[in-house]
Amino acid sequence: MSEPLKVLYVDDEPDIREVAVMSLELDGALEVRSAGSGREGLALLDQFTPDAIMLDVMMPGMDGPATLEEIRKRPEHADTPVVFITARAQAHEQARFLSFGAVGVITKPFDPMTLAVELRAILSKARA
Amino acid sequence: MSDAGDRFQALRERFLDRSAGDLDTLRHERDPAALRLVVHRLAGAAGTFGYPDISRDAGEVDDALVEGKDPPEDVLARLISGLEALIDLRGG
Repeated sequence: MSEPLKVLYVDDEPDIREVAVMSLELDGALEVRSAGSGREGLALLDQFTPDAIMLDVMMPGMDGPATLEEIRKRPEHADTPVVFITARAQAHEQARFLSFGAVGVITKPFDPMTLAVELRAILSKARA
Repeated sequence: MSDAGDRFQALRERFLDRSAGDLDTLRHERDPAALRLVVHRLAGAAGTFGYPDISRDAGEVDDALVEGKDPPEDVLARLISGLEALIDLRGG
């Protein structure tokens, strides 16, 4: 059996964070850890090496783009694919988020039945 | 109901509890930053819990606030009445 894909999900909104983790775990082959802030997510990276990171854009304190900037300062995570999660659906905003170095953007509200599929599709496209 | 279904239902209940607490902010708060915290949360979360109309209306108010405009009163009113209806429906 192949190794599970390790995912770190960072979102300050507890309801959404929990439903996202539950949704991703429905995949059956994802190992998911979560954090409630950018700083908490960075601290978790000291003990957990994810294959992909999902970051909410709008978080108090350190927002998604600022968290990504900090992640990229760590050589071991310089190339870890990051996907932004955002309620801002307008195309020019999504393009701006991608310009920060994310491989994709998932729009909230997301469908809990297809979140893992969306993530895998973005990661496959990024690898292609 | 499956374990995942039970968990999802519990999270939806918690979301509605929090949203009931946000109604006062939606009704009375006119500080754009404070109002935005609430509508942004609703825009991002409500659709995931099965309430796409709430997400859409909250998103419209969020968009207006981001652009520095006043929240559209008709949309805000519809958002409030939609949330009230949801909360009434479950007897909250």
